[in-house]
Amino acid sequence: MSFLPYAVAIWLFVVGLYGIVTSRNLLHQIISLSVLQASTYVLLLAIGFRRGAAAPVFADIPANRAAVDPIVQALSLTDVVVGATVTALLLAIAVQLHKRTGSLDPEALRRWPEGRETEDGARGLSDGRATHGWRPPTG
Amino acid sequence: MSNLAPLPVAVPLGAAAAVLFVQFIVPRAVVRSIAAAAVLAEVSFSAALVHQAATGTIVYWFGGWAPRAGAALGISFAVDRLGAAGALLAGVITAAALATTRELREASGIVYSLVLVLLAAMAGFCLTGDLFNLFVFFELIAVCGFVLAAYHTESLTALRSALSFAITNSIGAFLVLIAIALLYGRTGTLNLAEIGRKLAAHPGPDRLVTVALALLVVGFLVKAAVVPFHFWLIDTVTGAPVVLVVILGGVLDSLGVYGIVRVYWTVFASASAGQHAVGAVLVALGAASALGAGALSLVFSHPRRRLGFVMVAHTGIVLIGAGCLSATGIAGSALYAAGDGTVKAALFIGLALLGFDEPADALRRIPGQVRRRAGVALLAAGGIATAGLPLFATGLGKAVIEDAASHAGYPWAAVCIVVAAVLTGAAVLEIALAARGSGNGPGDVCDHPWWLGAVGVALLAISAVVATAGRWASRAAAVFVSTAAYQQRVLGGPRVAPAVAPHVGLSAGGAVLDLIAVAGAAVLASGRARAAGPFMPATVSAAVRRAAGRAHDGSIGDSATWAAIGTAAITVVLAVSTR
Repeated sequence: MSFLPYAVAIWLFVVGLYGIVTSRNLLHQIISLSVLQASTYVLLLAIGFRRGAAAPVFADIPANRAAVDPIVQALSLTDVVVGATVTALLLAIAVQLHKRTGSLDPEALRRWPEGRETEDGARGLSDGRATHGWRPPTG
Repeated sequence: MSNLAPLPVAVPLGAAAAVLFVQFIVPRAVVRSIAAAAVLAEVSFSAALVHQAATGTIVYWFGGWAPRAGAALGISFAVDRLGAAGALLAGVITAAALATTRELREASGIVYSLVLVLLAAMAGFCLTGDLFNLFVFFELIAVCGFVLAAYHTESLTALRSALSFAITNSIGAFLVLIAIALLYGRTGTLNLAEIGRKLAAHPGPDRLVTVALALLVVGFLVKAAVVPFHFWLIDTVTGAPVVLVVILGGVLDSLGVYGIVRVYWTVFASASAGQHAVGAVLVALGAASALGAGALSLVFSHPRRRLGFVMVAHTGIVLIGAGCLSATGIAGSALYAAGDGTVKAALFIGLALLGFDEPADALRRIPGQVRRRAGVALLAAGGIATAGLPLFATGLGKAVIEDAASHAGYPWAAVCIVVAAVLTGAAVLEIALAARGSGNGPGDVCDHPWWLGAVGVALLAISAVVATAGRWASRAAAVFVSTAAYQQRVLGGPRVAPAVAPHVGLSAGGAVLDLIAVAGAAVLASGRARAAGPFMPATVSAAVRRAAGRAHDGSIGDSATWAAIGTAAITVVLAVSTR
């Protein structure tokens, strides 16, 4: 059994994670997540693979012929559906964010507006009076 | 009789589809009634399953594909009392969450549809006996959560939190999937009982199995949102609609821990790979969450953000019970998760009555006099329950977990639990104190129906009822941890008796610790209300607030980095300790 597919799976996982962590563009970040997910496809298919075996469709091959594992293929298919759903959803959110802010930079979204809210709000709460964090943020 | 098993999943799923079909031709009241009826049906079926499972684990094979010669061919639901009780809790919390949907003024059928699918997925997650099925329900829960989290598309906080929620949870889900692939590669099956049997047949250390265990644990911990995987939760609690927040706080984060213990006790308990190490890792992470998030809950000012940290701290307490790897620990965790989940849902309903039902960056709506009093009363009672008054199941569950932790050799974890209860109780009581005198300012009038307060009271009452279920929980936990008996019920073979139920109850010492925690929380909250920052100089507390705010500023990159660090650390610890 070759180690190559496993090495590819690990590489895809790590490179996808690196992309998510360092990305400065939401589209890039979302595609990095898809790359990370591709590692699971490779891993699943590698586990079910048998050299020289046929596809697990017994309509036109003898029933005793060696075939690759159909279960991992079913799992990969489910995985693809999950991935497509999540990616579509994330892209829709990215479109909304771009509409609101005109930016796709995830770093531009941080510190909005809670960063400020924590700093001036907490004191108001600890003296037991009304204002804590309830004033509308100005950012 | 066992034909009841798929209904808690099938009925809400069917109703979700029906809602989508009829939403444009019938009035909204009808849509709401369909949703409510489906949730009540789920609650009744789950309650019936809890009753039926008393005589032994119910196994249901879909399509009649029963196992042949001890090998699973089909996909099964394997319902024991704890699983059925999880489905029941999910139904009860969802019913309470539906009561808050009036807040979504333009709520279309899609919100009800999503909530119903979410409920079906939670029930399936609790009932299934198949590892891949577990993953599918896990993802279904997550995807419904992502959509609901992004519901307020006009709010940047909501959109950003939905992104963080989706990306972090997807990474967790892929870790679970990789672990499933590894286990399938090793054993050639996806049935939990059969994987457990095959691993037990090959005793001795197996690093691959250890890595699979580590990845599964991390994947479910991301869902459970314990430190350091909690960043997405804090943001989501601040930005999501109340209906999702109630479900998140009430049941979803406990389900992450349920996933770990379910897989551990069916698959890994007999394989003895890294067993003690995994318990120690869970207890350590639980203690870190309980203390860290408990302290941070006093730092932040926005009430929903605060409750987010309270949620993380309490999931940490549940995790400590799970990490004891004993029937007592499981019983304590189950009691605490149910008792605390209902209290948490009541707290969020109290906040909704006070007008905190929009994302943090929207204008707050101002409650009328009656609703404000109801909200303050709910928060005050909920704060006392949060600290663990023995009247509520939080007090009993906490005491049982402390007991289990001392027996398992982690007496320091019991101390962490008491400290966390003081901190989180004070954090909630402070919100009630601060809300008492508020009431003016800009904003719309908050128009929740008057009976929402009654729903909150009912939730607190449920928590008090759960406090009487100590004996039930001990029997359910004994069955839950009986790995061989579970495998025999699912796959057949010579009959195995389940473990003996441990004694579970409120000891005198536990009751005293509970009362100390309640008193400590009250003193801390009132002390802080009288003098701002009595425990440290103002410059230090400002620096702490700034640092905590910066650490939780919603960066997806940070969240993913912590997930990666946590994964690497847990995997290395478990792999090294496998001998």
